Amino acid sequence: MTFSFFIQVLVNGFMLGLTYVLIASGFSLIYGIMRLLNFAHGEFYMLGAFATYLLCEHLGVHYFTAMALSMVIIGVLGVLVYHFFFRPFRDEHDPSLVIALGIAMLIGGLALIIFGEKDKSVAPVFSGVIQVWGATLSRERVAVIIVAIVLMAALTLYIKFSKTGQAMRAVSQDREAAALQGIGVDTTFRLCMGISSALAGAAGALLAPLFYVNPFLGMHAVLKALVVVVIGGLGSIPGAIAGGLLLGFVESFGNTFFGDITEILGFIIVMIVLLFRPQGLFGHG
Amino acid sequence: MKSFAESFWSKMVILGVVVVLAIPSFPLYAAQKELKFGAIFPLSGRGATWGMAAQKAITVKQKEVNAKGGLKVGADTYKLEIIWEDDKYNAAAGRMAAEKLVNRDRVKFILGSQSSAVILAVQPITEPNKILFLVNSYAKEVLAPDKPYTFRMVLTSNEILQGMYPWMTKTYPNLKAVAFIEPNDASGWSIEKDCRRMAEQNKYQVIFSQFYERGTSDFYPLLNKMIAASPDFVDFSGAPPGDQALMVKQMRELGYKGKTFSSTTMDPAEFCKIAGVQNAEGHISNTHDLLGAYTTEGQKKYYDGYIALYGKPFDPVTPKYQVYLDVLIQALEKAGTLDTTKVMEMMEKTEEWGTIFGASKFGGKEHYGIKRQIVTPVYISEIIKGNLVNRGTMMPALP
Repeated sequence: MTFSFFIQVLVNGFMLGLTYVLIASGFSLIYGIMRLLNFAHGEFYMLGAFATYLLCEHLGVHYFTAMALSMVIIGVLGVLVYHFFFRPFRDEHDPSLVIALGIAMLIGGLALIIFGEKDKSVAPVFSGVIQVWGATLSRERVAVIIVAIVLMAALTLYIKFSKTGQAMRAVSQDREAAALQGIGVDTTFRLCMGISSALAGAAGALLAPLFYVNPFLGMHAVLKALVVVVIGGLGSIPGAIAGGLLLGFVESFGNTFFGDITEILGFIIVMIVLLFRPQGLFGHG
Repeated sequence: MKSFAESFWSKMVILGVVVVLAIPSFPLYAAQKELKFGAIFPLSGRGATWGMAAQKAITVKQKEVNAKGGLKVGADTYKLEIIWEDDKYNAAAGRMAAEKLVNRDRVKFILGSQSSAVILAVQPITEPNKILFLVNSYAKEVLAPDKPYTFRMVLTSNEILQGMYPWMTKTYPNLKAVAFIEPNDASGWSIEKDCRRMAEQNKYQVIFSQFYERGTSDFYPLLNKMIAASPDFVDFSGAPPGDQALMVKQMRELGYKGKTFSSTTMDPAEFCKIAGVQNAEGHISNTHDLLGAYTTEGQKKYYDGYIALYGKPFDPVTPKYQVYLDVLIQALEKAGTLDTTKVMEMMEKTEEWGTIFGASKFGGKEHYGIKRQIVTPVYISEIIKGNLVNRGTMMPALP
C-alpha cells in the first residue's frame, strides 16, 4: 500500500464518518433529552434533501440560502410532529416507538407519491478536486467537511454554554427536578425536536449535491444512525461524533482489506461495544 | 306555481333525455365483460424505480386495448382490468399479494415481479394453480422445466451480455481488463456470475469484483480500491441506474479514466444530472433511444401513447415492460380462450411475436431447460455530450 493510497483511505473514512455524524447527532440528541428513538429522523433527513432540491432546482434559490431554509422548514416540521404525535405519548416508551415508526412509513410513502420514485440531483455548488498528500477529494466534499465541523462545534457549544442548552441537559438528567426548578419540560422537548430535525435537514441539504435525492434515503440513514449512537452511547453528542467517525474509518479500511463483508464490521463493533461497555463509548451507565 | 301537467311533462322530458343518452352506451357495456389480470410489482421501496416504470408501460398498453373496444377472445370481448399489488421488493409481501390475487380476485394471469426472491416465493402458488405468470428478474432458476406456467418477458443479463460483450471486443479492441461492482444480494450475485462468464468467454481479464450494500451512496472507499487495480472498463450491470450514475461521478472525481459499462437501461437525462455530463461521456448501456435510428412503428406508437398519458419527458426505461401485456394479449387472441394451459401452449409453439422491438420469440430450451425466455433485439448505446446515441443492435442467440 502506497502512502498516497493510505491517505486516500483515511480521507475517505473521515468523509464517510462525517456523513454519519451529521445524521446521527440529531438522532442522539432526541434520545438523550426525550428518551425517544425517533425512527422518523431518517425521513427528516430525506425531506431536508428534497427541500433543498425543490428550492434550488425549481425555485432557483441559491444553495446556501436553500440550506438555511431547509433547516428552518424541517425544524418546524419536527416541532409539529412532536406536538401532534409524540406529545400525547410523551412518557410512554412503547407507543412512542410505534408512533415514530408509523411516522417514518407515512413520510416515506407520501414522499414517494409526491416526488416520485426517480433519483433526483442538486447541481453542485463547487466543482473540481483538490489533492491532499496524494489523496483526491472533490471541492464539494471539502465544503461538506467544513460545514459539518462548524455545525457540530456550534451544537456542542450551544448545549454546553447556552441557557436553553443547559436546560436541555437538566431535563435529560432529571426531568422532574428540572421542572421543579422552573424549566418548561414541554418547551425544552419542542426545542430539542426542532434543533434535531433542523440538523437532519442540514444533513440532507449538505449531502444532496454530493449524492442523489430520492424517497428511500431515510431508512438506510436511520439504520446507520442507530449503529453510530449505539457505539457512541445513546444520547451523547460526543459519542455520536466518535461513533460516526469510528464507523466511517472502519468501513473505509474494511472496504480496502475485507471487501464484501465490510457492512458486517459495523455490527461486529456494536456487539463488542455492547459486550464490554453496554452504555456505549461515551454513554453514562 | 307550475300546474301538475307542466311539472309532469317537464319530468318526462328530462327522463326522455336521460333514456336517449343512455341507449347508445347500454348495449355496448352490457355486451362487454371484464377480464382481470393481476400485477405484482415493487411500487414502494428501493425497487419502485422499476416497478413504477413497469406500471406505466403496462397501463399504456391497457388503455390502448380498452380504447379500441377491448380484447377479443373467442366470441367474447373483454375490457381489461389490472389489479395492482405492491410487493415492496420483498418475498413475503409478494407471496401475500399472490395469495390474494389467486384466491380472492380469482385471476388467471399475473404480471410481475422484478425481484427473483418474490418470483420464487410466488411460483409455488401460480404453478399448481395453473396461473400464467409473466415475470422479469435475472435469476436463472426462475425458469425451469417444472415451472411451465412461468414465462420471462424481459431479457436478462445472460442474453443482453451475449450481445454487448462481443460488441465491446469489436468496438474497443484495446480494452483487456474489466472490474465488476454489483449489489450484495441474490440479483447482484447472479448478474456478476453472468458478467464474469461472458467477460471470460470474450477473453477479458477480470481483475476486480466487489459487492456493495444497497442504500450505499458514498462509493469512494470501494472505488478507491477498484481504481488501484487499474481496470480498462467497469461493468456495474446489476446496480440501479442512480447508483451507476453516482459511481461514475465519484470514480471520475477520484481520477478514473477508463470506460463505464452497464447491460441495464437508464434515463440518460437523469443519469447525466447525477453523474455530470462530462463524467458520463462515453458511458455504454443497453438503453434504446426510441426516437433514434432503430425506431419501429410500434415504438413510435408506444412513445405517443406514453406522452399522451404521462406527458414529457419520456422515460426510456419503460418500453421493455410494454412487452408483458403486448405478448399476453396476442397469445389470448390467438388461443381464443382464457384456458391458461391452452394459452401457455400457444405461447410455446408460436415462433414469432410482433413486439415494439420487432420480431421476437421465446427460447432458452438449452440454457434454462425450457423454452420460456423471450428473445428481443439488444440495443447498445453510448452517452455523447449528454445525449443517447444508438451504437448497434443485435439478436442474442438463445438455443
